[in-house]
Order: sequence, then C-alpha cells, then structure tokens
Amino acid sequence: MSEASRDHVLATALLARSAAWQTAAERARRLAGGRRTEDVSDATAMIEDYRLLAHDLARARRLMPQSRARQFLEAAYAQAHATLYRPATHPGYAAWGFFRDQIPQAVSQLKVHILWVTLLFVAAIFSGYWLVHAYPELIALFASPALIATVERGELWTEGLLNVAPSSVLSLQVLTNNVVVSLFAFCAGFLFGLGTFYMIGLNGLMLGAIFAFTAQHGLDDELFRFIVAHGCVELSVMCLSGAAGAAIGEALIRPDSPRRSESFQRAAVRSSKLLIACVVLLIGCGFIEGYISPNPDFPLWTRVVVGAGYWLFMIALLRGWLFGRSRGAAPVEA
Amino acid sequence: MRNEDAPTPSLPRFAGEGVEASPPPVAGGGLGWGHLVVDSVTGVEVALPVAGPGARSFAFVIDWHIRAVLTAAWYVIGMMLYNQEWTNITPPLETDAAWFGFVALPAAAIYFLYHPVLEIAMRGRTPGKRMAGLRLVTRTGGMPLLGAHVIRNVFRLVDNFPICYGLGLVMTMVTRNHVRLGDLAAGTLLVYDQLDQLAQGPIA
Repeated sequence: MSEASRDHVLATALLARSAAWQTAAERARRLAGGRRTEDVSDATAMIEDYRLLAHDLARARRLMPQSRARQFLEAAYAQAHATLYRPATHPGYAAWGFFRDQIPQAVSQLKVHILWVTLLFVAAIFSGYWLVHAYPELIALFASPALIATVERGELWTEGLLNVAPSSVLSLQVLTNNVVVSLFAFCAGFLFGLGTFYMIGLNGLMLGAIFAFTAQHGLDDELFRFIVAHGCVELSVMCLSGAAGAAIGEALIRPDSPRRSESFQRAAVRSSKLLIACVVLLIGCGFIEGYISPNPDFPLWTRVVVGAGYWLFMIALLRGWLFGRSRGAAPVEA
Repeated sequence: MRNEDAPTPSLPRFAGEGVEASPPPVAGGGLGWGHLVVDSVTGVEVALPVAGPGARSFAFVIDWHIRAVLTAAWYVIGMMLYNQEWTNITPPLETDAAWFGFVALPAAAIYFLYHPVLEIAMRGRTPGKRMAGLRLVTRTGGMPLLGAHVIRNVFRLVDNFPICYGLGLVMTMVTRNHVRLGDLAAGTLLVYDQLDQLAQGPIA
C-alpha cells in the first residue's frame, strides 16, 4: 500500500467523525456561556471532547492542511480550550473580594506614589498661596477674568449655583466633570509620569492662589465653607488617581519585567483597581457637592462633619475595613 | 510559511504563558502569519489566528452604528414621551431634572456603557465582533476575567486620543498581536473565530 493511498484511507476515516466534532463544538460553545450547568456528565464529556478534537486536529494538520475540516477543528479546539480552562468565578464573590482584598493591596503597592503625589499637591498649594499673597497681580495667571471680577465685587462664584440648576442636575454634572478630571490625571501619568506632575502641580497652585485671592477680599471663610464638605475626598481622589497614573509612568521608565509591555500591563492592573475605587468615591462627592455644598442652610459644623466623615469613609474603603478586613490584617502579598 | 516577525525566545518564560506569534512545529501545518500559539496538555498546540487592524475596525464600526442607533432611538422616544407629543422632539429651553434623568442621562449611558456592559455580558463577543467573526481571548487563549474586561474598557479613553480611536488604531498597526493600549494593559487580544460560519456548511 503506497503512502498516498494510506493517507487517503486515514483521511476518509477521520472525516467519518465529523458528527462528533459538531457535537463537541456545540457543547464547548454552550458551556462557555455564563449559565451554570447541573448536568455533570455534560461537563465531563467536555474533557473527552477536548482530547478528541486535539487528536483529530493533529491528524488533520498533517493529512489535509488546506481543508475546511481542519479549519473547523482549529476553531472548535480553540473554543474547547478556552471553555475547559475557564477560571471558576462567582461574580458576587469576585466583587466582594475586589473591595476587601484587591483595593487594599493596590493601595499598599502604590503607597509611595500616593505619598509623593500628595506631597507635591500640598507643596503646590502652599506655593500658590504664597505667590498670590506676595504678588497679588499674579492671580490673573490662575483665574479667569470673570471669576476675578466676581470676587472683586465681594461675591463668590458658588453663590448662585442652585438658582442655575437643581441639585440633581448639579450632582450629575459635577460627577461627570470629576470623573473626567480624575481619568485625565490618570492618563496623563502615562507620559512617563510627567503629565501627573504638571497636572497635580498646576491644580495645587490654582487652589492655593484662589484661596490667597479670596483671603485678600475677605471671602476665604466662605470658600472654605463651600469646599470642606466635598473637597476633602475630592482632592484626595485627585491625588490618588494622579498617583495611579504616575505608577504606570514609572513602570515605563523603570520596567520591573524583562519587557516594557509586560511591566506596563502589571502596573495597569494595579492602578486600575485604585481608579475604580476613585470613581466609586466620586459618586458620593457629586451628591455632596450638589445637595450640601451650595445650600446655604447647612451650618459650618455640619459641613465639617460631612467632610471629615466622608474622608474617614474613604480611608475605610481603601483599607478594606468596610468589607470585613480586620484592622490588624497583614498587608496582602503582591 | 514561517513568521518573519517571530522573536528568538531568549527570555525566560513563565509557566502557562502563551508564546506569541511563533510558528508551530507542525509538519505541513501551514498555519500562516500572525497566530497566537498556546501550548496544551494534549501536546497539540492551540493556534489562534490574530485579528488585524482591518477586522478590528470592521467590528468596531458595526458596534458603533448599533450603539449610535440605540442612543438616537432612546433620545427620540424619550423626547416624545417627555414632550407628550408624537411629532415634537425638540429639547426644552430650560433643562430640568426630569429631562436630564429620563432623556439625556439614559441616552448617554447607552452610548458610553455599550462596550463595557455587552463585552462582559456576552463574554467578549459583542454583536460587532460576532458579525466580524472575532472573539476576545487572553494571551493564553482563555476567556478573560471580569477585571480584564474592566481594564480594557477603561483604557478606551486613552485609545480614543486624540479623536476617533487614533491612538488605538496606530497601536493595532505597530504591536505584534495588533492590539490597542487597552488590550496591552488587560493582556487580551482579538482572534478570528469562524466556528459558527464553518458549522453551518458541510465540514468534510
């Protein structure tokens, strides 16, 4: 029997199994879906399918590399592989574990970045304050002419906010704006951390400058009243998202893996966790800034309590205490 | 045909990590250019044909049209109900909370949450990817976890820079697995999956 005719016989025998491939492909597709199967035999048949497809694919690659049968087997085998090695996950448990373990882990991995970015922000606030305090005309660099005119009339630009838009609309606008800003602070970090440096620095300078400017017109108490309830967390979130971006920038400058792309991927996974916590925190900020901050009925002490309380809530969220992590628990290993 | 781009694997590989785009040692296999090859316990490699910028753009354009139509449909129907008039879809001069919460916000949510929600719910096979015959996989050929989906979609903001996914498109042209920044961060890629089309005709 010649080799060619033997291959022909083998190919014919192989193709006789095409019905089994169809069944296997259909099962692999079905079990890949999210629905849980109660049928154990169905699930175990998947393992047999995988071996059958592997065996027949190896034959088909040799006997009929250009055939439709081989194409089908390649696709079915790939799907069976993905289905069989699908990690067992439970969405509810995964979300719980994310907040209990993964966010604290990301925070502890990024604590150096968070510290430095916060220091930069505080230093920029003081420099901005000092600059405008010493050279009052410099405020033109940091604030718009309209804002300067409003403050020089002895008013704050925040006073008429509730006449323009109801609290619900204001909350959503503020939330959208904050999310965009913190994502921008994050993305700016990709430019080797320089974007974060400039953005955090500039925002700090602006905040300090505007405080100095309002102080010159006796409005700094008013501004503090407006900011304190939402500002504690909002400014912290700015620093957090900036730090998350800076960490990615650093991973690109000093890769901790053989390849920059791998290092980038690891840093992105770490930083994105922190970013999700930031977005969650900003939702609360939006509500406070829409309902409490612009409402003149709330006395100062309520605002301070809300601001400090929400800041403590932020710490509890970042340390995982909210989700049942004990306070003395060892930091999660990287 | 051997892959010209295949790097010499001089670096240590981690267990279970996919070997990217190296030609499989199959006699007469002819797997062609641009395959993700993953080792398997059976000894038969899983070969996934990597989708290029063309196929990715095609899938994206389909998805974009679907979400644009859905967004517009919600807006039009929402405006009709809001105005309580079947022919009037002009927005109010002064926006109030009802308009914002009932018309504008859901429309924006459809537009911006289409990709994240559908990608997670449909296991990486949005309608556009399905029609283009694509599937989202991890670099080891498996199904991505929730975290990877989230990261991939957060990075859309970066890939969208400066406009119309400019950065993402350039990235898919220059990276080996034709992935955008979000895929690089999440460790995912798009591969061709013709299983459904192939299953319809005769196999033999």
